[in-house]
Amino acid sequence: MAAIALLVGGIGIMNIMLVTVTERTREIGIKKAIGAQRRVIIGQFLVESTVLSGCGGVIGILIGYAGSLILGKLIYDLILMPEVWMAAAAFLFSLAIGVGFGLYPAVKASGLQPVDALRAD
Amino acid sequence: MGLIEITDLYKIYAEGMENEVRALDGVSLSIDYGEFVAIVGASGSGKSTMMNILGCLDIPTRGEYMLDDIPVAHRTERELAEIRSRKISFIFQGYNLIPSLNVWQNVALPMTYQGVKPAQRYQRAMDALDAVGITAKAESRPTQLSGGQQQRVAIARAIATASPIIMADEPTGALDSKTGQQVLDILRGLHGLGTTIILITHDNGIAAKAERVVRLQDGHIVEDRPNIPDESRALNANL
Ligand SMILES: Nc1ncnc2c1ncn2[C@@H]1O[C@H](COP(=O)(O)OP(=O)(O)O)[C@@H](O)[C@H]1O
Ligand SMILES: [Mg+2]
Repeated sequence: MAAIALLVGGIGIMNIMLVTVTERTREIGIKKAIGAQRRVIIGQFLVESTVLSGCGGVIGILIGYAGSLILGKLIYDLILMPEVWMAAAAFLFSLAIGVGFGLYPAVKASGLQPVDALRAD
Repeated sequence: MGLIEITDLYKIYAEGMENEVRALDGVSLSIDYGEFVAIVGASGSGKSTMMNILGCLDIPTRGEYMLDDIPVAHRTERELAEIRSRKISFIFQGYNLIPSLNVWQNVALPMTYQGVKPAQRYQRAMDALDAVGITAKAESRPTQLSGGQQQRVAIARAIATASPIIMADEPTGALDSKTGQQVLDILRGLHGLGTTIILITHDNGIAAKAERVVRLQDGHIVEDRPNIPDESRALNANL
């Protein structure tokens, strides 16, 4: 159950991230053309994706707790609480996926010649 | 020595393959500080390739490029970014603004890379927007603007950096002729203030605004002549 949820979530994040790679590549091309250093671009993407996936992870955990409480009550008439290690694992998982796929376009595109990054479409 | 010196420069795509393209086929060119040069030629003649190499956005296959007496080939990636940051601003046909930033943030962005203090960035961005007559749109998103307005934002972004060189690749290509004229007038004004302008165009009428015309054909320079801009000519005729 938890594994399936993680898998579905992971695939969802992956899709969104891959869709924006092209867009992000152009943006990185623009930033390089107007004078950004590679490390500045990568640093910005690192911060952005950490914050985004961190928030996503927290929201996911809250929904997860609420969901198990409600469903546990309705279906089994029990108070079901996910264990802390599960929540922690889910959080770390979403952080890793988010940062990984957030950094991917930055590391890749910032190493291109600016003209090649600008050409992305 | 001039600002820009290229010697026997080549850009060859898919070299040695069946589909080889010699976009620049052994060109030499020298441009001085303060010039207003148009690089003109038919579509596919190698103009954009030339600008991208001159602007350190791309690297040549072979040949020498000296910028400020230093070979560009010997520069590190860091130094090239520094050159783009301090010396060169670009204006593209497709504007290349960042959609997630508003207008003044777009104009201010290159200044963050130059290390301009945050307090000064906003003021300088607004001054640059004022110079192109578009301060009223400072808080808008680029997508909310017309093409001509977006191009003026791109010019404001160039102005705000105070780069000594502006390279413009078909800056009026997506604009109607009246709006295009306004954009060219702004570039002429910047040239009057001492900025070196390299203007890429396929349009001879637009090239006639420059003080020097370099013509490319199939990756070769086939003409390089001084030009008296239309406006100056008209002025002289009236005297
Ligand atoms: N990335 C590329 N790969 C292969 N060929 C290219 C590439 N970029 C440009 N070319 C080719 O190089 C030639 C010159 O292109 P370009 O410099 O864009 O010309 P212009 O700007 O004068 O229209 C054209 O034949 C074009 O198809
Ligand atoms: Mg072109």
